Amino acid sequence: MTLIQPIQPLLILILLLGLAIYQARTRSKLLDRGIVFLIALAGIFLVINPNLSTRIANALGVTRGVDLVIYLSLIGLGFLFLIVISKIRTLESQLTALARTMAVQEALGNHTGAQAENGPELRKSSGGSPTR
Amino acid sequence: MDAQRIPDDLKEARPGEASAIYVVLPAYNEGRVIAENVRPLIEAGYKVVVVDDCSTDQTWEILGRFPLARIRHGTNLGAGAAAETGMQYVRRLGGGIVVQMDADGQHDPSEIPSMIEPILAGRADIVFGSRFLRKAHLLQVPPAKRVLLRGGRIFSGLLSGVWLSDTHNGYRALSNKALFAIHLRENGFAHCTEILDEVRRASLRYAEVPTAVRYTDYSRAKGQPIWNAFNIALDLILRKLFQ
Repeated sequence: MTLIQPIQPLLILILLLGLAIYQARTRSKLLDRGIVFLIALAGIFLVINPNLSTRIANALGVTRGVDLVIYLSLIGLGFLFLIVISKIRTLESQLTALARTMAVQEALGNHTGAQAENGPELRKSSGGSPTR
Repeated sequence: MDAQRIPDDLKEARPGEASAIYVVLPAYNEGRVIAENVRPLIEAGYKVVVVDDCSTDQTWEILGRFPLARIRHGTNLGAGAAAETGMQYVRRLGGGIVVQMDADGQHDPSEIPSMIEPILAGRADIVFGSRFLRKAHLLQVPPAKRVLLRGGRIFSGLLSGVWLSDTHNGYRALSNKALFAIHLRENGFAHCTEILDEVRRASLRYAEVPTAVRYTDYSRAKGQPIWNAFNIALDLILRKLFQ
C-alpha cells in the first residue's frame, strides 16, 4: 500500500489530539507521560506503515495486523481500567479521611474543658441543623 | 427494649480509661427509630457515640436532644466508614472498650454485658456477636438470608483465614487494644470481612457470643438487599488487588 488512504490522516489527527489533551490536562509522572507518548508514536507509525502491523502479526501467529492491534488495545484497555479503579479507590480513601478528620474534629471541638473532664460524650448536644 | 445496667465501677470510668465503655452506632436516615434505640443505652449509663453518615432525614436533629456524642459526615460514606469514624473518635478521647451495634434496633442492648464479658475477663481482644450459636436465634433469620450468610462466612473465611459462624453481624465489642490495632479502610459492608483481616494481622484474640437479631418490617426495609452480597464480594476482591 503506497498511496495515502483518507483514513490515515484522520487517525493520525485523532492520535495527536488525544496525545495533546493527555499531556496538557493531566498531571502524571514523567514516566507515565513518556509511556503515553511512545504508545501514540507507535500508533502513528503503524497508521503510516499498515503492512508492518501485518508482518508483526504474522510473526506472532495472528493473520491480520488489525486483529493484533485490537488484541493489544483490549489488553491496554484492561490495564487502563485497573489503573482508573485504583485511582478512584485512592481518591475515595482520601475523601473519607478528609470527611472523617473534619467530623471528628468538629465533634471534639464542640466540647469545653469542663465537659471534657466529665466525659465530653455525655454532653447534651446543642441540636439545630447539621454543620457541614 | 431495656439495656441491662452496667456495673458502677465501669460506668464511672473516665474517657481514656481502658474500661470506659462506648457504644458506637453508625446511623443513616434512622430518624424514625433512633430516639427509641439510643434512649435505653443512655439510661443504662453507656457513653453513646452516634455517627450520622450524612442523613437526609431528621436523624441529626433528633440526636441533638440526647446527652450523647453525635458526629456527622459531610458526605455519605458508608457503614464501614461510619464505624471507623466512631472508633477514631474514641481513640482521640484516649480509648476504651467500644461496642458497635446497628442503629436500626436490630441488636439488643441488654446483650452488651455478655458481649464485653470476654474482654473484661481478659479472654479476648475482640468479640463478635453471632446469630448461629443458638437455635432460637438462628430460627429468627429468614431462610434466604441464612443461606447467604453461610456463603458469606465461607467467602470471608477463605479471604481472611478467620472463621466465624456469623461474619456479617454488626454487633461487636473491641477492647482498647483492638481499638488501636484495627483500622478500617473499607467504607461499605465489606468492612465486616476486612475486620477479620485486621484481627489476623494484629494477632488479636477473638471470641463469639450468641446474640439475637430482631428483624422488623423497618429493619428489613432498611437492611441490605441480597444482591448487595455481590457488591461486597467485588469490594473485597478489589481490596485484595489494590491493598
